[in-house]
Amino acid sequence: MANGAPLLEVSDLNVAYGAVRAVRGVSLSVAEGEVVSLLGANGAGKSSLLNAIMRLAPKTGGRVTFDGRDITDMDPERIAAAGLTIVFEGRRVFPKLSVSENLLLGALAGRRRGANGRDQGRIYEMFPALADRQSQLAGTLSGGEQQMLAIGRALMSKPKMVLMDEPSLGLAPKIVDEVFERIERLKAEGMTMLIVEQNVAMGLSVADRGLVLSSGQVVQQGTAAELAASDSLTDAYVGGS
Amino acid sequence: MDIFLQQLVNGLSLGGTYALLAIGLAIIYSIMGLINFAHGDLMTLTGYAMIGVVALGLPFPVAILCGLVAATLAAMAMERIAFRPLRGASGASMLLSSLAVSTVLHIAFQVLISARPQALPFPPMFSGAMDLGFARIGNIQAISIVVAVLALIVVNAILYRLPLGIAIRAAAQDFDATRVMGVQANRLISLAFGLSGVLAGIAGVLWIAQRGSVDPALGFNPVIKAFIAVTLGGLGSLQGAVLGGLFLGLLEVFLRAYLPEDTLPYREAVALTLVVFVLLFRPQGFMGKSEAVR
Amino acid sequence: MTKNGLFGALALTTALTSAAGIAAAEDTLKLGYIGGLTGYLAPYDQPSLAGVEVAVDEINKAGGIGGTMPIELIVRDMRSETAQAFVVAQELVDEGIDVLITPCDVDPSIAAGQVAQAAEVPAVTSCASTPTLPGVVGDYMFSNYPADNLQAAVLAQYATEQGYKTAYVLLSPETPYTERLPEYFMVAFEAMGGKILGVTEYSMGQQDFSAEVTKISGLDALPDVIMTAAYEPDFPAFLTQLRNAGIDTPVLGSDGIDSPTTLGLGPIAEGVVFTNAGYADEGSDLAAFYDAFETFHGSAAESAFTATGYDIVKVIAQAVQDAGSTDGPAIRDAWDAVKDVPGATGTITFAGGNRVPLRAVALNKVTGGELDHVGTFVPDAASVPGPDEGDH
Repeated sequence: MANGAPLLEVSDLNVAYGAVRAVRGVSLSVAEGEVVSLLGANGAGKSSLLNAIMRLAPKTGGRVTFDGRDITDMDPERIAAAGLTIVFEGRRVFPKLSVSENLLLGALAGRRRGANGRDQGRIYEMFPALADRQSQLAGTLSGGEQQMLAIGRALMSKPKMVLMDEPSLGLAPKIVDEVFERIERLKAEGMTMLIVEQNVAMGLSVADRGLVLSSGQVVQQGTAAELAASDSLTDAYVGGS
Repeated sequence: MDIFLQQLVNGLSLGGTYALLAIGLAIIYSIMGLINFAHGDLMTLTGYAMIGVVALGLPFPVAILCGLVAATLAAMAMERIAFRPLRGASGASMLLSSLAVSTVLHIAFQVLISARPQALPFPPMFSGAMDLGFARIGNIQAISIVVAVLALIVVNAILYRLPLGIAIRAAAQDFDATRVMGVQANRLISLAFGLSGVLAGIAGVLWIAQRGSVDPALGFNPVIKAFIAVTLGGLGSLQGAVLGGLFLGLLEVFLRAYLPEDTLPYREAVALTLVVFVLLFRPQGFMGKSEAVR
Repeated sequence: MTKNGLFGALALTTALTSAAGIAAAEDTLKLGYIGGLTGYLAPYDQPSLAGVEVAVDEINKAGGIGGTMPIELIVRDMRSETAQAFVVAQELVDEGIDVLITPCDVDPSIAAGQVAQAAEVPAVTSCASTPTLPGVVGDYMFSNYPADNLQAAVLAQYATEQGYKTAYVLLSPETPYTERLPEYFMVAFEAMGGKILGVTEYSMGQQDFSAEVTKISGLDALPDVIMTAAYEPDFPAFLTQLRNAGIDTPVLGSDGIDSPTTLGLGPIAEGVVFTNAGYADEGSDLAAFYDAFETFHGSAAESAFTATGYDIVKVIAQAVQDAGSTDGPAIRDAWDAVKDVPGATGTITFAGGNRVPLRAVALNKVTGGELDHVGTFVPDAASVPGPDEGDH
């Protein structure tokens, strides 16, 4: 179990798209080396929360600190440079760029941590399927390969923490296993992660702790083991609280 | 046959100039969804800057360099002043803003310089023609083609070799994801405007070499042509912009060269009709629009 | 912005110089001026207006027309747009102008002239030179500049005298000037025994003339001379590309290229011959006018369009003085009968000319970056094509 100082701290965060309040007063913290799963039904506000942390969704209140710095109003590129990155829902690799160009860009945010765009061997070793497709356009990869690329691209910047948004979305079960196997490996290497996952079993399998979101609010939290054993967890997925 | 070859060279020369303009428009459109109608005024500015430098008695290459620098800085200033505050606004708002910038520049040129054309004679190397045996190629046509090809090779190298160039292509596909890669949005957009500015400046030099004079409205006609080229090529596609520019240049020259004299008054109409036909059968243009995400 | 701001201010200045006259409207001649002070007509209407201002100032300093009637000049920019010419003409007529000066092109002059015609306000185009213009608009429309057929005849005569046997013509059907002047030239040149090798058309503002130039260079034999009525920015572009292609055939142009831009082209423009309304030989009236112009404006006159602008006001002043009133029909009748009015470019006669002036045409040759006076001609009537000749 990780028990370092909080690396990411979110307090009383609100997100609204016009009149629609997607996240209401959420507070959470993730310690260094810890893996936390955000669980909850579709529309519970999980992705909005991650995007708002990266300042890609409109925050209407609250505070976010990362690695001891207030990043509430920092530009996404500076947040990334500070060592916090995101693997987007739906992957969002650059479809018209080659695999190797995608990885090269991934390193830009980590220049201060010694990341080098040409130094891609580590990623190809971790995801051998990509090694054979270095000059292939990312848009022509399979869904699983694109997910590998999206994770690889995030790792190129030598981040201190990765936000991972629905890594299993739309993938065949066999591929999901493969992806989570890599996430396990990252955790073993000590990577701090906040993972949004609809697949509860999967999400909890790699997590130290979990939070359950419903209608934009935290309705339950605990260790992965506690949550796995909880009955009320299913309620959150059918919209109760 | 040699006449045909000469007209082909004429078409490639004109098309190359359109392509330089079009690729600048396409870079900006692909990144921020803006059709920058003030793009042509950068050509005009290049011309005035050159006239000023020539009047100071400095050598012509210095004038060209200063013209290009002026266009580049003006493009970046345009972004900073007129477009940055509107970033993320609708395409229509930005289009109107670019028209406003263009109008302001026109009036500034008219009031501060002159509404009348100012002559800008080019050195002798730009005049005359080379006899290649099978065809006579005008120096300026040859220079236009060589410069356009070189500029496109350099742009290609920037966009495909330099990390920030790759980031420009990435931003055209997914702007937010590009920012998360640690690419500063302001720096990237500023660089893209700078790149489009220097291309407009090069196009301006080539255009004015053919034209002999600079007036406030110089850039209007070419920017419309470049816009047609970008549309033909597929909005936001960089390769498409080059293809569209070459196609339009060749089309215009060949229509003017080979339409019977009686039908010459209709050549612009014929050219635009052909463009409409291309778009009827390929509404997405030559290269589709998948590079443009918004 | 331009209309009410910059040029409004201009109008105001001029109005102030004759402020005394505003109080007693009958004692003032309200002279409306519509010009393309911005846009493609600016190279002609700006100098023309500058010349008008010199004449108005000169007359007002002497107490006005006949020493008693100052001129109030009211200026409007029509931005080189025909529709705008119509709009501002209506504004000026509503303001009660007595005489109207219309832009340097035929279409806006027709638009503005028709407004004046309907209000029985005599109108004159500053430098549109289509000889049919006054006839098209009506009996209140006058022209001022040497007409297209007159210029064409002088050019054809010059070409023949130079021994040119063949000519190639570049024209644009977009304006009567760019189409008809070359057509008159073809009629006159063929009548004098010359041969037209070919005609090609361009679009105004097309800028790329490579296809046209290649057509000329592809002829079995180059023509002895190339003639066009193209003006800025088309003429510099065409000439630059023609010379760049290594074709050094002599080029004849018309008054549309009477502009510093042509001289500014440097060696490329060397040898170009064109017509205009006058050449300022030493000691001539025109040279005296250019001195007066520089004194008034503080800068040298850029072209003979300043002189023709000056001439209009002199003619108008003569007509008003003869009419003895600011009454439209009276001015019109008097104007139609004026003879030998001393202008900057020579004497101007309207009597017997159907509202088209009889005046000389000067031929200029670009030599060493300066204008050289080839001669000033009044062509013999037989060699001038009729206004309707050569039209297809």
